Amino acid sequence: MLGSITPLGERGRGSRWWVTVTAYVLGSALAGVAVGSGLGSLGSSFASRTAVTARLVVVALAVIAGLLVDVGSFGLRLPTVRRQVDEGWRAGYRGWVWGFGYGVQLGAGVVTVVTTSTVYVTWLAAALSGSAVAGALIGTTFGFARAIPVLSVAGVRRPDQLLHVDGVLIRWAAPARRATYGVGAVVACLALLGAARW
Amino acid sequence: MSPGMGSATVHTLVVVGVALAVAAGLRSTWSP
Repeated sequence: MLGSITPLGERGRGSRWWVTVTAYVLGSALAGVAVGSGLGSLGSSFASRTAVTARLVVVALAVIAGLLVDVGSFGLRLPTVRRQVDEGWRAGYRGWVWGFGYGVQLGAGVVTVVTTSTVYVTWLAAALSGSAVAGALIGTTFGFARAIPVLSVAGVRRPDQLLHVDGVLIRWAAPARRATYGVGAVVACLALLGAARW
Repeated sequence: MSPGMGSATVHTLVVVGVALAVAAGLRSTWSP
């Protein structure tokens, strides 16, 4: 995705990179807000009847189960749609239009390929938060975190620089995967500690 | 549970959710 929104590519399409990126980040954040607040509202009834400690334990167990799936335990594979954003949009629409459209789809987290269980558990946490505001906070964070890495290609103005970005992404793929596992483990411990303390 | 502790637990849940959101969002950079 990072290679799809670069100053190099936008110049070739006659668009301004910062306009496309702004629309992309905005779309992703808005989708995160919508999904997070919606799930928070949907979960409010259940949350009001369930102790917060129990909800924390559920999140912790979901994180652990997700990590087991992510590492392929028991031959399990993460369920996901196979859909991706439509590459044709970039040729058919103005930069801000497809940027916003891509942002909305990616910020929703689950309408394109999902590579980590933490996406699902994030939305579970939003639902179990039991409030639209808390869900929106979680969703906004996801939307921004999903979109902000695009700023790392702000300096790509030549093809060799784009190849360099691709190389960096490939080198960092495995460390990023391991880092996600680590964060998941820490979060699960935090949730369990929170449940035990209160 | 004393007054305020429920709120603190909710805050923990939100912090957990936000931490997950950051990890999930950044990790999704490597989506195809």
